[in-house]
Amino acid sequence: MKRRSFIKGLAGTAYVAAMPTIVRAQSQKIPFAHITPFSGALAELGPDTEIGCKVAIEQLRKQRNLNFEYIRVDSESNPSVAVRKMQEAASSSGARLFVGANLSSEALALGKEARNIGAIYVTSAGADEITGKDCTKSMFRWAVPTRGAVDGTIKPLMKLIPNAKRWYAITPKYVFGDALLRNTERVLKAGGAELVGNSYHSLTEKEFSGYLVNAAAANPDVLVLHNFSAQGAACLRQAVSFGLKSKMKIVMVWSAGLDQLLSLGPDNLEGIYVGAQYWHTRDDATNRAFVAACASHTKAPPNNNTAAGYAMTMAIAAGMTSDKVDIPQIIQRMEGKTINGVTGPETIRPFDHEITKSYFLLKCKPKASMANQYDLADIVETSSSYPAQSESLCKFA
Amino acid sequence: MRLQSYLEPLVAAALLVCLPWTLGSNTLATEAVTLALPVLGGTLIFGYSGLLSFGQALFFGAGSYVAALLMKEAGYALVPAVAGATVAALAIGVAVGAVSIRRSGIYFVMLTLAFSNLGFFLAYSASGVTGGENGLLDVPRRTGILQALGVNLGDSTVYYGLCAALTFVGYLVMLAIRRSAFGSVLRAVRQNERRAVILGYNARIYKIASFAIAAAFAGLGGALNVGLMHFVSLSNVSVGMSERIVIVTLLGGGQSFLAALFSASIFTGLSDMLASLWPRWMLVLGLIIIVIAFGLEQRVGFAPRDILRRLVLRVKPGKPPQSSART
Amino acid sequence: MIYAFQIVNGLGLGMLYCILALGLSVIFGLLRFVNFAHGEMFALSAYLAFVVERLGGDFWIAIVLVPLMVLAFGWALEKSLIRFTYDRSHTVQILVTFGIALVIREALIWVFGPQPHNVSTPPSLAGFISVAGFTFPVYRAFVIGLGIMITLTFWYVLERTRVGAIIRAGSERPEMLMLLGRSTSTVFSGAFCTGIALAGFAGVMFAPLRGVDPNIGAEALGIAFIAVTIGGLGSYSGVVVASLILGVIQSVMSTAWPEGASLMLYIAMAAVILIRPRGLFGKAV
Repeated sequence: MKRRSFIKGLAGTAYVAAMPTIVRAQSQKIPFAHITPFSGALAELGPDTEIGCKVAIEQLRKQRNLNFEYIRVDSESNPSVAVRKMQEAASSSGARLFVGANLSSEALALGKEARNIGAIYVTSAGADEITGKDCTKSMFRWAVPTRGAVDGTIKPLMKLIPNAKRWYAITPKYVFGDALLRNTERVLKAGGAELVGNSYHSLTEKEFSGYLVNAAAANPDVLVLHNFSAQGAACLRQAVSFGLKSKMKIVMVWSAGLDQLLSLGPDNLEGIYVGAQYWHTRDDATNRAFVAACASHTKAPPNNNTAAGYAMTMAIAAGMTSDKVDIPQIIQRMEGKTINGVTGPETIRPFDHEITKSYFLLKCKPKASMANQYDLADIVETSSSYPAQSESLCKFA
Repeated sequence: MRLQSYLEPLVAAALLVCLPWTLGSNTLATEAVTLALPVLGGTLIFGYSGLLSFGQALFFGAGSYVAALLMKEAGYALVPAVAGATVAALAIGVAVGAVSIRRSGIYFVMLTLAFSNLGFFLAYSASGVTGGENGLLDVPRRTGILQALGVNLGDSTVYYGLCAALTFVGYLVMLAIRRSAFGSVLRAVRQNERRAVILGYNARIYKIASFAIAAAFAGLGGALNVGLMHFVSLSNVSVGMSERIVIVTLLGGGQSFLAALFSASIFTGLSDMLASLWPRWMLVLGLIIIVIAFGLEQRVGFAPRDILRRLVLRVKPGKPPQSSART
Repeated sequence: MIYAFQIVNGLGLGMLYCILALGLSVIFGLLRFVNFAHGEMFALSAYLAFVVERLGGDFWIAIVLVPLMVLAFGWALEKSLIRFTYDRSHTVQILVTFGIALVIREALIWVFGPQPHNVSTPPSLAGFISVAGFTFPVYRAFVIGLGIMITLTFWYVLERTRVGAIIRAGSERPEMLMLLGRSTSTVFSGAFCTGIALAGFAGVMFAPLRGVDPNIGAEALGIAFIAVTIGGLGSYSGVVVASLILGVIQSVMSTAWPEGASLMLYIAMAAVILIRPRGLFGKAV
C-alpha cells in the first residue's frame, strides 16, 4: 500500500515538474478561457457561446495577429464549480483572460475570484449587482441590465399602444425578478399607466395556470412577464393556452432570444412582444459579417449567447496591443473604448465596467409571413438605457 | 491484526498527503476533502445505521452559511467560525434526526428530502441574510491568532493542509466510533433492531446520535468549503448536493471509512476530468450506480461478478416481497 | 370568486398529477417497489411525443403509440434489471432506479440537446371555453376528461374484474398469489408495465401543456411521490384524493402565498408521514 502511494506521489511530482515546460512551449499563444455551463441545468448556454468565441478568435488571428488559445471550461451550472475551475485554469494553464455566459450567481462569484487572482472576466449575465454593489475592477459585463431591459420594452410599448392603461405582471420572487418589477413600476408610473396587479412565483415553479387565472381576473390591457429562460417559456406557453393572447397584449421583458423563441414556435408567439439582447436580422456590416462567419460553424443563425461570446472576446481584445498579458494595463486600455459591435456601437464605461449596448424590442410574426424557420420576429425598437454614473452603486475597492 | 489497525490510518494519511499532486491542484484537492467529510458521515449512517439520507445538503449548507456569517458579519477567524458551524450543524442534526428516524425505509428518505427542501427554501427566501439566489459573496478567510505561529491560511497549500488535517482527525474519530461500544450497538441495531431493543439498548437514541454526528461532519465540510470558495452558493443546500453525497457514499461501498476517503478523492478527480471530456459523463455514473447498488448488502463480494452469477445460474426472481417485514 | 376558480383549476391540475401518481402507486402497491425512475419514464414519453410530431404524426397517433413504446421499454427493463431487485431492500431499489433515471435523463439530453422543445396542441383541441368571464383551455379540459376516464377505467378493472382481484390480493398478501398457483413473475411484470404505461399516457398529455425539457422528469417525480406518500403508499383511492388536494393547494397558494407553494407540498407530506404514516387512506397492515 505504501509503495503504491509513493509511486502516486512520484508521478504527481513528475507531473508538476513537467508543467513549466508545457507553459513555456505555448508562450506565443495567449491562454483564453471560456467558462460557461456545458452540463447541468443551463447546459444549453455553452455550445452557442463557444461558437461566438471561436468566430471572434478567428477574426482576431487574421486581422490583428492576436493568437488566443481557446480553453473550454465547463462550469456545470454550479457557482462553486465555476470558481474552483477558474482557480485551476489560472494555475494549470496560466489563463488570466476569462469570458462566460453565466448564471448571475456564477458571474458574481467569478467576478470576485477574478479580482483575487488578478484576472479579467467578461460576462453576459443579467443581475444588476454585477456592475452595481458587487462590481470589481476585474469584471466587465456585456448585457443590458434590468433597467435597460424594461426601458427598452415597456417604454416603446406604451407609445405603440397608448390606450393600454392597465398592466399586470408575473414575477419570479427573488433579487433579479424584483429588480425587473421595480423598474416596470417606475416606467409605468412615469408614463401615466397603472400596474393593477402582480403575481409572484417561486424559483422552481413550472405550473403557471394559477397565476394566469389571477392575471385574467384583473382584466389588464397588457400582461408583463418578468420570468425568463425555461420558466419564461413555460409561462408564455400556458398564457397562450389560456387564451390571454386574444384578450390582452403580452410582453416578455427578458427573453433568451432566438433559441427560446424557436422552442416556443410561431403558433404560440404570433403577436407577442419580447425584449432581446441581440437579434440576428439587425442590418449593418459588422453584424452581417458576424452572421456569415457563424454560418461556417452551425446552420442556425447566431443567438444571444453566440453574440455574447463574440462580443465578450472582442471586448478583451480591445484592451490588447500585443500578445503580452498585463492585466492592469489591459483593464486600463479597455476602459472608455468604443467597439463597433454586433448590436451597434458598444462602449466600455470606466466607472462600472458596463459595456453599453442596444436592447431590442421584437414583435413576433405570424407563421405565414416568415421567410424561414428562424425569421420569427421583427425589430420594432432599438434602445439603450443604463443608470447614470451618479446613480451607480459600483465602487471599485 | 495489530499491524492492520495501524496500516489503515497510514494509508489514509498517505492519500491525504499525496492528493494535491495526484489531482494536480490544491483547490481540487481541497474540494475533494470538503466532500470527503460529509461522505464519512454518510458512510456512518448508511453503512452502520442503515439510514439512507437524501438530505445531507441541509447540514452541508447550514455549515456553509453559519461559517460564512460568522466570518463575514461577526468578524471571526476561520478556525472558530468552522468550529461554530460544526456545532450548529450538530444541533440541527439532533433536531432533524429526532423527527426523521421515527420512520424507516422509503418514509425516512422522503422525510430527509422534505427537510432539506425546507432548508433550501429558507436559504432562498431569506435573501437579506443569505444572499438568496446570488449567494453570499465576499467571505474573508481570516487566519486569526494562528498568524502568530507564522501560519497564513490565505496560501492555498496551507489551507489544504488545514482541511486535510481536519479530515484526517474526522477519519480517526470515525475509526474510534467503529471500534467503540457505540459502534457495535449501531451495527446490532442495524442487523436486528428488535433484538437490540430487547437487550436493553435504546435504539432511537443511538440512531439519532449517529445521524447528528453525520450532520456535524457534513457541516464541517460545508464550512471548510466556504473557506475555499470565499462565498456560499445556494447550490450548497440543494437536492443536487444531497445526491452527490449519496452517490459518493455508495461509490465507496458504505462500509469502510478509508474507502469513503478514496471514493471522494476519485470522484472529485474523475468528475473534473470527465466533465472536460464529455458533458454527458453522468450517464456513465448512472450505470456505475446501478452496478454498485446490486452489489450492496450482498455477502458474496464483487457486484459485477454477482450479477453475472445471477444471470448464469438463473436464480429465480420474483420471490414474493414480504410486505409486513419491510416498510 | 377568484378562489372558487382557483379551486376548479386546482382540481384540473390534480387530475394531471393523478395519472402520473397512479402509475407510481400501482408499482409500489403490488411490488412494494420504489421506482425513482418513474419521472424519467414520464419524460421519455413526452420526448417520444415530440419525436412523433417531428416525424409528421399528430397527437392522436402519439397518445396510442407512445404508451405502447414505453411499455415495451419498461418490459425490457423489468426483465433485465428490475425483477432482480424485488427481494432486495428499498435502499437497493431506490439506488438502482435512481441510476436508471440518471441514465435516461442524460441520454435524453445527449439525443435532444439541453434546450427545451415545443410540442403543439392538437388543432382540434386548440380553443377555449369561457365561463363567467374566465377562460379555460379546451385542451386542458380534454386532459382532465381523459384523466377521469383513465382513473375510472383503472378503478373498474381493479374493483370489478378478475385481474383486479388478483392485483388487490397481491397488494395485500403477496404470498397468497403463490399459494393460489399464480405465476408471480407474470403478475409483477404486468403491474410494472401498467405503471409505466400510465406514465406514458401522462407524458404525452403533458407535452403540449409544458413542452419538453430535460428537467420535467425530476419535477414530475417529486409531485408524484408527494401524492403517493400523502395518499398512502399503495392506496389507489388515496392517491386520487391526494393528487386532487395537491392540485388545489398549489393553485390556491398561487393566490395566497406564491413563494411558499412548493414548500407547502413538502410540509404537507412531512406532516402526513409523521402523523399518519400509512397516508390519509392507507390501510394499516
